[in-house]
Amino acid sequence: MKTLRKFFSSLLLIAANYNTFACCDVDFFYYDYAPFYFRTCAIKRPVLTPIYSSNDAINTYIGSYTDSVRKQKNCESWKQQTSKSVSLQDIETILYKTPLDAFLRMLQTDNKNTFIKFLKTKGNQNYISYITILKKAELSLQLFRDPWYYPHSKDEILPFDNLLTEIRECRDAKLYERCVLQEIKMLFLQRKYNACQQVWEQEQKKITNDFLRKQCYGFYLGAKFKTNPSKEILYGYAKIGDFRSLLNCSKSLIPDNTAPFVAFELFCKENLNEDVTATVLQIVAEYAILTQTCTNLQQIASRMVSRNDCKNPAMWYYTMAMMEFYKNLKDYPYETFYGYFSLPPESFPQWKNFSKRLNRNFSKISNLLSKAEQAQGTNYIKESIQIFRYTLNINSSRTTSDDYICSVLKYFNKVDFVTYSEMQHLMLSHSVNKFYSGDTLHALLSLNILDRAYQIGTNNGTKYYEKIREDYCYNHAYQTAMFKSLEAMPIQTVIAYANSIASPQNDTERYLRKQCFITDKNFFNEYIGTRYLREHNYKKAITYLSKIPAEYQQYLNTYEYMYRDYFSYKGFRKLFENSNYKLTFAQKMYDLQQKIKTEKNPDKKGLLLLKYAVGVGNSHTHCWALTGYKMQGFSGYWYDNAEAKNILQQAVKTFTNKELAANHLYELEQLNLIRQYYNDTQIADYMRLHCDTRSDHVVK
Amino acid sequence: MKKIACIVFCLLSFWSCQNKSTESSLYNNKDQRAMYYWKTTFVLNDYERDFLRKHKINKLYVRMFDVDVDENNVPIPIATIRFIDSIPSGIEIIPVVYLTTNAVANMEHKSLYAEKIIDRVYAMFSYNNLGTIFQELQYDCDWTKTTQNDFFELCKETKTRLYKTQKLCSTIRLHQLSQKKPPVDKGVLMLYNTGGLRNYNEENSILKLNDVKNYIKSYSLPLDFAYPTFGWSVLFRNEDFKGILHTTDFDSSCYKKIDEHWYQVEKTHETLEAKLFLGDEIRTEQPDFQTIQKVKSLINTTFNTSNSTTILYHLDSVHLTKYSYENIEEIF
Repeated sequence: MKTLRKFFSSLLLIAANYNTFACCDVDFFYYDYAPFYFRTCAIKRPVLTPIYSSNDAINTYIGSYTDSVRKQKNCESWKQQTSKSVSLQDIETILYKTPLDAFLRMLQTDNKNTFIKFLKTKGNQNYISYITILKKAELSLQLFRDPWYYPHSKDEILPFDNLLTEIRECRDAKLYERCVLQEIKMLFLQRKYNACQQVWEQEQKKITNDFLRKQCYGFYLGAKFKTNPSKEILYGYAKIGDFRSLLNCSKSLIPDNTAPFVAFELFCKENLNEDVTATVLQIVAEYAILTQTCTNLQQIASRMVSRNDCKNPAMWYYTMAMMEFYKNLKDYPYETFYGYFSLPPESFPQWKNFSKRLNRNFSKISNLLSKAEQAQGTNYIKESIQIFRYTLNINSSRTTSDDYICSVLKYFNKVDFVTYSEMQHLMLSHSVNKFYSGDTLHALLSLNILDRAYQIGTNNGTKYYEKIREDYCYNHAYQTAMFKSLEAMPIQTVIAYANSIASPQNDTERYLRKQCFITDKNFFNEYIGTRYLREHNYKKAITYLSKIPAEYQQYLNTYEYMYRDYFSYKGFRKLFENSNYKLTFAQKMYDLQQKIKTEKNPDKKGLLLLKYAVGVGNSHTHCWALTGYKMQGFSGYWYDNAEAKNILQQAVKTFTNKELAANHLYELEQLNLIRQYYNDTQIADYMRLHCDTRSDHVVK
Repeated sequence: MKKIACIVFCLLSFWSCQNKSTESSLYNNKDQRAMYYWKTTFVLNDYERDFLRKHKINKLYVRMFDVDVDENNVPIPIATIRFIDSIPSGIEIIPVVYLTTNAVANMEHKSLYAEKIIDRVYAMFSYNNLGTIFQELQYDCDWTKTTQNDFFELCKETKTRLYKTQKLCSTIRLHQLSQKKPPVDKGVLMLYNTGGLRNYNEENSILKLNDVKNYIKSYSLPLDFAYPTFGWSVLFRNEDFKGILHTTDFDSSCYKKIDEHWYQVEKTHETLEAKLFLGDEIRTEQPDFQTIQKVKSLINTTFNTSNSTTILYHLDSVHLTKYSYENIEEIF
């Protein structure tokens, strides 16, 4: 299975370079019922323009799969036609990865490629001619497929005339059917639709290979659609299992947003139990969710499940339940549920409302899901149903216990993989449930688990229970949902939470702790210390900051800003020594606090107050790394800070030596204070002589 | 093909030189009136056709395509304009190519891309009957110090590939006035998008006199000047920028006016452009005539504009109807 997936991925790369014109291609494919687009998740879409919900996106998405599957089938067909000793990989290399010049060179020099060996065998010259013609056609096509290409005139067509003659001459018993297909294809690409139809009508009886026949017929239908579009053509595409062409033609005939559903139902009628239907269903389901047309898909699912020949009813009941679930998301901003960075605490009320709404409609969804649980289905769909059941119970607040969440996470450890969206629905809902029941600590714990899922989700598909390196955690800790919530909590709650993380009380808590993103005590001590710095409680800041090792600060996302001198009067003066940046600052500020308390000399006290004011102000402005974790929101001058301003006023009132005070205030660029309090000093005279505007002379 | 184009061009150049004396006596740059056309389909309604005629517009700067990068960081053209309507007679088309800085930075061989751009513009002229040759090509790129060298190199390579009589022009954003001048024949100073679009506290991001004043300084490149006659609405959710809206019907009951230029969404609903939620806030922006006039006066006192073209951004009846005939004439 894994090899097959790997094979598909490699073909996808080829598809990117060799995609054929979208309409009227013949496509059929197999792909597992992949969860990425379904289960409880919807893909992220741009905030304003839901391009993924457009027909075009369905076309592009499905196109890449269909191209890849067609290529795989083609390789298999070539193997069948040539020799058992030729490997599929070698065929793929020659047909899809080798340009014309390299192909001709390989014919001369390569003895390893089994397909080349076969071609060079006596009597197989015609195969070489055939492949050469197609490589020439690809070269011509490349020019037209170049995104920079723009025709010079409206009559410009692909220069296939010579190649058409060559391909006709190439027809022999072995290659007859392939040559007919290529002729039809070239005529179609040249927009010679009538000629294209004629070739099919003349040759169709001779084309017996099902794979090639379906392709020829697809181009024939396309040519017919170009000359005389009708609904008949849609049935034709449904019969050969080509959903992309079916959809493209439906769009012209049914010019509203129901086209994908009409096309899908037609498709299902002919391919109900085919694997391909599951893949198409995922794409149509995504379209239904994003365009809020869930009812349309529900109706189709209901009709499919009632058919006597339906072999996978679980999938259709699951679809109906899922669509019912998604109807409840209507009217909520998209980012409430899918935008990681706009998560809690802002989105909590909306999650609560959503939960209430879901609770009201619980029985309808649950009944459909019960039917899915009891119906026949593949292992994979059964797994999806189980995950959905968990989600539904938690989302609708039916189950709020931590033990239940533990069992869900344990189940996740067993399944193949779980998407971030699935985790998000579960953990965020659980967090909201806990939060509103007054259990803030467990609400935060759930967010911490969610953060882990998100970080892993953004880290190349690591399984969610795998360990993450600690330095990675530190670097990303300040972007997490848990951190955002901590910032909104009082400091006492943060301390209680840190304690609960450090000493779990029972097995459930111990298990949940293991699933968290951040559990490191250094993180919490550093954060609590920083919160106390923010509150100017330097004594308590020292208590927490002294618990962490000096080198810890190097892991912080703010480390690169920890060089600025917090007592600098102006500008970014650099500190020569910045080890233990926050702790040293806290200690110096605490020391100042003590000295201010005990200093009897008013001028000395005034100077201490000035230094303290600068420290307070700077810690909220250009030395913001002392009190925060992101630059945003920290701007202006140190004396813009209200607390710093108060202390400055205190200092002014403390000084008795006016000249000394004015000189220091001048250094601090506090000219207004000089004018206000020390207007009769020498420095005030100096200012008057050097000021540019009249207003600077006036005492206010 | 290129040879034929060359011969045709020489003949045309000869013909144009013959006629140049008459033409220049009719139109020097000062009398040129131009507009930008910045949509992905070229369709003119009656109002727009009439506007061009009434205001004697003789040049249209048409955005032909953008150049951005694909998923492999390879520069490709996107959003190519489709010409549905014909070009009104007497109007010269100046092709404009918008280049993202990412695309410019990723152009490994600038000469190759210069050639690709020029060839594509030629093809578009030929296919859509826009004229045999273009006299001027304009690049629009928000280059900064980090992308300056890449952009300048592309300009140099482009210049060498244009015929001598063809001019290469570049838009100049206000912040670019303090940078080195690009190696082009002429610049168009964009006197719009002067403020912070995404800033909730911004009052008008399209044009503010003070914003312009902060940047204006003399410039050694000959300049034309582009003024804004467009508007839009800016959507905010919880004070976070969400996007630009172009077609909001503020008369509907879904919105409540909360300030001179601010509306609040009173009912969750979906428009053609976006889904709007209860509580969303929308800032409307459209520069008024007085502001444009003040900016123009400032420009006239700072630069020698005697030989400059005034360009309006852009030809769209929805916004042009907000200005009177006299207003537009005065701006020109």
